[in-house]
Amino acid sequence: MANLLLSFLGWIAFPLQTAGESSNKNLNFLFAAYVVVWLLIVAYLFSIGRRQKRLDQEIEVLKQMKAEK
Amino acid sequence: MHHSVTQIEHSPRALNFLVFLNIGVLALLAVYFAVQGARSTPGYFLLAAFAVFAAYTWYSMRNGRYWAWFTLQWLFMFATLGIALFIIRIARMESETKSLLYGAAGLQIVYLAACWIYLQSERVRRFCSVPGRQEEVPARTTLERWASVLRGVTAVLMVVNLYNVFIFVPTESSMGLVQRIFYFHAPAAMTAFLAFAVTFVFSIRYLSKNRIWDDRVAYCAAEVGVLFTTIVLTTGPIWARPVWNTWWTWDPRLTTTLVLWFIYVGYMMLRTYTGEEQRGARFAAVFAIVGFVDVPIVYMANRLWRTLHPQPVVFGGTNSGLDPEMRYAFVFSILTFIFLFVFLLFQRLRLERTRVEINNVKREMAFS
Repeated sequence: MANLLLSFLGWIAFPLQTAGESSNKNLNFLFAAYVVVWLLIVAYLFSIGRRQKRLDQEIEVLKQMKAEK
Repeated sequence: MHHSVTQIEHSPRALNFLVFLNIGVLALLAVYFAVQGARSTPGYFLLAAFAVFAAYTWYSMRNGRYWAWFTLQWLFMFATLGIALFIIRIARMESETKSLLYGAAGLQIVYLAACWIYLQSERVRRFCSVPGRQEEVPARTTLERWASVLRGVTAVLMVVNLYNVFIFVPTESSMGLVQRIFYFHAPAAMTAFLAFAVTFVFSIRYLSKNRIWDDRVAYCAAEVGVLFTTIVLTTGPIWARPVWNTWWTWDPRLTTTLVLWFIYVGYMMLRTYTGEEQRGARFAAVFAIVGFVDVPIVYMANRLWRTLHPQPVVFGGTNSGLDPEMRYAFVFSILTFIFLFVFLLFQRLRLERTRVEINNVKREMAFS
């Protein structure tokens, strides 16, 4: 979240070129590429976190079952 | 639990190898300077450092000094490279040759100091928790500890990288702002190659030693490699659209990269869906080794064939090169992406570690 905010601040603070419309369009492509990179990384980390949580729960259940045996 | 710490402490082989390592790196630099003459690029130095450290890492792993030693070496190598490059940057040396020499010397001093601290300090060794050879998998706390260290370092590097890419680096004259995608696109590609190289190495290890953990490391590295290749295949077209006026073209570099993505997605599917564990792992390992052939093809594609893809700016020949500020930002971005790769790999390996634990518990319950 902090990184997304920082990237947005970096984007709006960046001194825009004077060329105008084509420059702004290129800025959109740059922003899109940057968002894609972060989305992919964040989605992967989220997926790992969710799988890890599920496995941690499973291992706790198994350890409890083993202890009861 | 027996640790192999005493092997490091008292083995003359380990200490001699440190000396050999330094001589080796300096010899490589000498050859490099002799070949390059007055011209030099930090990239060649990086390549030499990678090769030497990879060899030493392989040596360490063969002798059972596994996770902590491997991670320590990589961390210190990249930290010292970063420091050396920073010194080069702020010192404003006259020639790149001189700056590389100072950088290399700084790297050696810091690496030696790090190894000395590791050998001398019981506290540091305990923190690193070097596992003994008889362990099948790294201890859970070791992976978690290193994952949290890496998380912090990677986060800092990424923030600095943001600053470099969006504020520090000058705008390229012909492509304008969109050229800044280069600082994500190219490092992501290099990191993907690194990830698949890890898969390649661990697949060979698995076939030779038959340890299932090697197969798991290979799979995890391939998964992260596919992630980075996806980044390359998405940022590339986004960059291509305003520059080439097309999202995609069947250009050799783009096509071979797409093939690489398919190869390793296929490897992951093969590994996941093959029934019997050992046999499936062997098939997948062979597939990963053969599939790695595409990595040098992708790398060389824009050198061997006529292509729309930009010519290489690093190791590209006489007319290639980057402005010094762009080069600094590019190298820093590579460093950041490599740390990100190691962090993601550790996170993924924690998952595998938990799966192994679950299988062990189930096996114990079945036989009790």
